[in-house]
Amino acid sequence: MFVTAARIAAHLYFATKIAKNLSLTAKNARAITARAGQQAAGFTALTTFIQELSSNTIRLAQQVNIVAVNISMAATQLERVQYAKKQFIRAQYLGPKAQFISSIDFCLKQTKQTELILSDKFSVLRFELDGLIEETRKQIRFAAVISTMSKVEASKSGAFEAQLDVIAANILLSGNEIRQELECAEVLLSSSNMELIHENN
Amino acid sequence: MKTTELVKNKHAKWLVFGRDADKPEQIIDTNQYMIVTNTRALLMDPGGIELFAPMLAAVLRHAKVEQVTDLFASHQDPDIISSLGLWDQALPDATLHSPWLWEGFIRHFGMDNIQYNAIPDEGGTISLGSYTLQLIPAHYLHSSGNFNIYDPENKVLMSGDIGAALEGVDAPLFVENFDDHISKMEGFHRRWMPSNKAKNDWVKRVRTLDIDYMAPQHGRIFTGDNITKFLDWFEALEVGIINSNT
Repeated sequence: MFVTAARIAAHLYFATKIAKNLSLTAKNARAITARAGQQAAGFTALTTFIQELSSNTIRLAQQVNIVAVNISMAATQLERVQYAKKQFIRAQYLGPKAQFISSIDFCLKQTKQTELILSDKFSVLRFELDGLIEETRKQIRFAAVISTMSKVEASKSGAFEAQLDVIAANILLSGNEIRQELECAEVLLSSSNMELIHENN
Repeated sequence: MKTTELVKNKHAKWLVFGRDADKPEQIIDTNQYMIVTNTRALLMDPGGIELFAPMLAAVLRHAKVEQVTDLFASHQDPDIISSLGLWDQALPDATLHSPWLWEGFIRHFGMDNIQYNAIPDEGGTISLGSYTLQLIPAHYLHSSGNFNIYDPENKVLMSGDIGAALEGVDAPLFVENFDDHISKMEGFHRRWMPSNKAKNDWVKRVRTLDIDYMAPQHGRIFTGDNITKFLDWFEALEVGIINSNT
């Protein structure tokens, strides 16, 4: 799971990069609409939405990134504790007649307790990650809507239509790219859920 | 994992663990040592992560887990101390004595609970209650921060990689014929020990100690005259030389 969480974090890092480009697109749109004046009045209203979309996506992707890194760290700790537990059990198997073998029982108990605490922490973080990815996904659905509206408004902006068309296309492209990264993250998350169910069984 | 009692007096006994026929084939055989007093135990160069379970099982034949209060790592190599992350979960109240130079590196093996006692370059002592062991500097032999442990009561020098021979798990525990043994040590010492000056300083220092057993971390243990023969041989050996066979 620690590798999966790191991979999820990597996908969300790329999503953040794309969202930063979207922010540049919003700034370009604002500059063009300022030059176009009344001709692009409809588009001007949309630039605020583009900026918000970008800011929200960056914020959410950064939150997902933090949670994914925390999951990766918790999974690494869990892996270490589970490995130690396995080794203690192996020592019991190798030395059943060792005079002081029962003195390891306490270590084993402690390890099992730590394993439970870490497993709980892990579940909470996974739930949080699930929620954040879903929220980011919802945000990105707006990209398609904003792009369509931008296209319509661009067509009404006379000499500035071509430039604003590029902006509309960029919004759609960025939205699609972010969606692809999110889909990869979701596939990884659901495959790790399956792994966890398999391990628990 | 074979366990042999090396020597004992009324205060402490020395145990050597090794010659593990069940270890993974590609890892080198190592000797781990433990000194057990009436109340405490010190585990010396406790070994790699692969050996942890058989080592723990072997240790528990002679001491309770809470009796193992101290660990010693002569230097930072993985065959010496990569099991630390697991001992850290088994012995949360223990202290690890190791060169100050390696603290930030050794902690990478995982050390959330165990205390690190950073040994200064000039050495010092480890007290197991009223039983005291000396930390003998052995820097650059082979590691740049490196110590041996000397027990003046039982006259044992745990010499780390000095005197090591890389042999199979069926090798005898003690050096029988020193001349025959040279070929098993020579390449290792020439290649792994980088400094003639450091080597000769160590020989001079160790000649002042009264030693019955010189116990390296790999290969056979030296006893009696073989210790003086080793010191003479090592003093004359040119080290810091690359030999393609080693």
